[in-house]
Amino acid sequence: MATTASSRRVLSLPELTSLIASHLRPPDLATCSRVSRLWNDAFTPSLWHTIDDRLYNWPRIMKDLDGGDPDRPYEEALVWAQQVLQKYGHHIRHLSVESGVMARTVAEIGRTCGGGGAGLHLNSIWFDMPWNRYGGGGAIKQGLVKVPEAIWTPEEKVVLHGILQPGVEFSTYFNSHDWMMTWQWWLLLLKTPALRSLKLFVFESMNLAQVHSQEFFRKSLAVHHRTLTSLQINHRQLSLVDYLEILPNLQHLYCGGDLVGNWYPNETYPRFRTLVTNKPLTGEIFYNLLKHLPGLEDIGVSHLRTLPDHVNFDGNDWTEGDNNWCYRTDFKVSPLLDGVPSRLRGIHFFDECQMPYRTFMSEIAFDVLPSLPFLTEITVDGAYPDLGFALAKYCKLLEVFRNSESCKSILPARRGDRADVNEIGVLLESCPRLRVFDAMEHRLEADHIKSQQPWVCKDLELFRCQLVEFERQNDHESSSYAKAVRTLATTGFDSLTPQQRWKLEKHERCRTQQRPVYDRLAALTQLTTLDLGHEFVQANINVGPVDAPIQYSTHGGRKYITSNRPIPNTMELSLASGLDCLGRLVKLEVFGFSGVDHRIQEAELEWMAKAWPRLRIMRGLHHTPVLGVTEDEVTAGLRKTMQTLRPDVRHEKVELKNALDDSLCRLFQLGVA
Amino acid sequence: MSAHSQILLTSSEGTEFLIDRDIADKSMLLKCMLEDIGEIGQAVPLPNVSGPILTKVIEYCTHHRDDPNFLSANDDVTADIDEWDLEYCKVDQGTLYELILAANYLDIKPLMDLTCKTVANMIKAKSPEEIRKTFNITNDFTPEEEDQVRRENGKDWVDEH
Repeated sequence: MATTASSRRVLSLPELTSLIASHLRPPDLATCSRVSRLWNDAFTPSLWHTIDDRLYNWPRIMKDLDGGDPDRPYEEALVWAQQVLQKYGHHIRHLSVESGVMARTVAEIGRTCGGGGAGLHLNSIWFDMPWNRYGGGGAIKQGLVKVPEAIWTPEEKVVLHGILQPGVEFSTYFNSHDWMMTWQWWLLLLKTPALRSLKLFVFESMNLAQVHSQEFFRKSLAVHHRTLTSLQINHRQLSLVDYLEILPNLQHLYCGGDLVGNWYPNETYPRFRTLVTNKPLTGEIFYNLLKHLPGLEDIGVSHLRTLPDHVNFDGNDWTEGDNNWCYRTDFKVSPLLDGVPSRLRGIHFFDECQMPYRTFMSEIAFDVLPSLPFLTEITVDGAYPDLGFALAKYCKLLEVFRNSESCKSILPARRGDRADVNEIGVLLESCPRLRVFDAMEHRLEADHIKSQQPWVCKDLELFRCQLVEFERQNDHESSSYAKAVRTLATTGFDSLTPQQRWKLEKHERCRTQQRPVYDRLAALTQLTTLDLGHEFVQANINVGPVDAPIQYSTHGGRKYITSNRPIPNTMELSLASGLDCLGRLVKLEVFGFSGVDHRIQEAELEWMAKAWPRLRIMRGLHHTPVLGVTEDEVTAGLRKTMQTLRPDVRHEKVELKNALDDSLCRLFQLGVA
Repeated sequence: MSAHSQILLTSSEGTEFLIDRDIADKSMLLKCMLEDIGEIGQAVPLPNVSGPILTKVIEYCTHHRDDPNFLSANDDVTADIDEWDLEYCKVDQGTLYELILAANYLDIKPLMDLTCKTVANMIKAKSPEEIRKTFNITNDFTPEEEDQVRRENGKDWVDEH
């Protein structure tokens, strides 16, 4: 039959089966492998292509192997894992390991069979702290370990000479299991040729590299893994140029320590595309990187810092404390930036910075951004006046503006200054390709919005920002307004007192002020996330005497667990005020109004339940458990109503996304073949 | 060479197809061949592609002839298939497989992606038995083999439906 013949031909071509498999998740692939012999042959490689022991049933199996489940004998499970990895390990291309047993099993297979022979053919290895999970809950033993020479083969002795000295006692972080795993992993790394992506977390890097020397680690990579395109390591210090020289294909580097060394390389490295470090860089080094790495597309650093002239940039050996640095006023950026690469697409600053940072931001705004017409993403810890202006002027292709995680407080009372008001609203008016406007700490004022140009970002998918300075009636004014309305209805306008007339006028003003803002929001028809507020729960809320009362405020029957009232003068979000305009946002999946002084009642919830069919997350009716504070009845009642109307909608608090994690995720997805 | 020049293709049965050059260029095989050897002035034989399948392929390339994102259109694996493409793929399984093979042979990546995605969608969220029914496959495992595959390739580490 033609079908059978052609299907047989399709399924016998690996490039076609892997293309079909690329649209399927492992549960489906597992099913495919059980259909028939032909299908088993066709789909087994894809099923085993990526093994991440945090996914699917691996955590449970690995927990069993660690002896957690008395119903499942340790040996049986271990034998099972060894057998399947022996049998299918050669299909694994990407391996992400978190469990000690998995690490040991894989390392053992790699050691005995060789990474590239009959055993494993890995393209990428991510290795995430197995020691803390192995052998009883993460106690790190300090002490002396004597490495028994007898267990090594002669071949291994040669390799391991550089790492662990047999017969020699040395002080170590790891217990006896750990160093065994360390040398097994070394062998795996050395026997697996031509890795594309390698990710080692803190202890792995320390154990694998700094037991003896980083130099040895680097040399090993240079010999065995010149193919690496993506590398994440956490050495205390790392010289970027040294790594670029030994790894000619390196495209993405994440470094968990200080970047040190020569910043004026003679050669340029056009292939290098992504650099992320969670440590600060000096402004000088930052600008030099932009200048000397012409292929750089994304750069992420914790923040920029300056140094006093007499302190050399040599890691942690500051001659003065971290806080004693001062700004080098004689430092000029512009000459350095002659020839800045124009390919840069993303700049990310992950942490908050102290005052001189603002000066850096101005430099970046006026000296760097004009050279970056292709910038599409920027992450900063706040909104800066110059930055907003420069982005709007020079970076018309901007797609993502994001505030980094450091959310000090969004409440004006705690903010102390008014710098973050209206500064980046200009992006909404100037960047037509903007998709993400993630600025929960930023505030846009009602009158400002109304007075500015219309928003041009018709493709905006995420809007997180506080909309403030709406004129609002307080509780007392609301009740006197109601009284005035009754008087108006019964005895007519002339019988109103001047005060009552003023109440009516104010009510009218409040409503007319909200309309244009609703209209602007309603035009963003591609929105999937709309977050208008954030309730700041103080971490130190319980500092003080144990029996001290928890501070919270009650406002409009709701409890706000903040040091203040709700974000004042925010939108009502009631149907009467114009909420129904937002019915155009049919794609909305997430709606947040946490901490907003809203007037959402049952009727509004009923409307949302109908108007937003794709809604799945609501942020504003959740309960934040804080010791000593019971939930207010108003919020609890509304949540119950919503749960009845739409049981599929989850209630949660606002998550401030971690920009660093985001970047790392993206970086390493690029690195996985 | 004019933009409107035409190319003659011959299917496996010898049927001739006269198509515009820009449509032929959607196939990387034909594009490279025509760039390398220039226009040869005679029919290009395609012994691996039957007439009906070549008609379908030409239909696809013609529909997408002005698509500026032709080569990157299906890069997003999570994106939904657009309506025309969905209709286009409503064919019997034999034709679908033949289309995959033809797209592979002619090197038309978007068509390969589309047809493979269609096959994947027919597989998703089914049991092995349901897949066998859908694709008319006989289970040729022995009971022992079936049990072994189930233990090794799924039951233990992948979630079951």
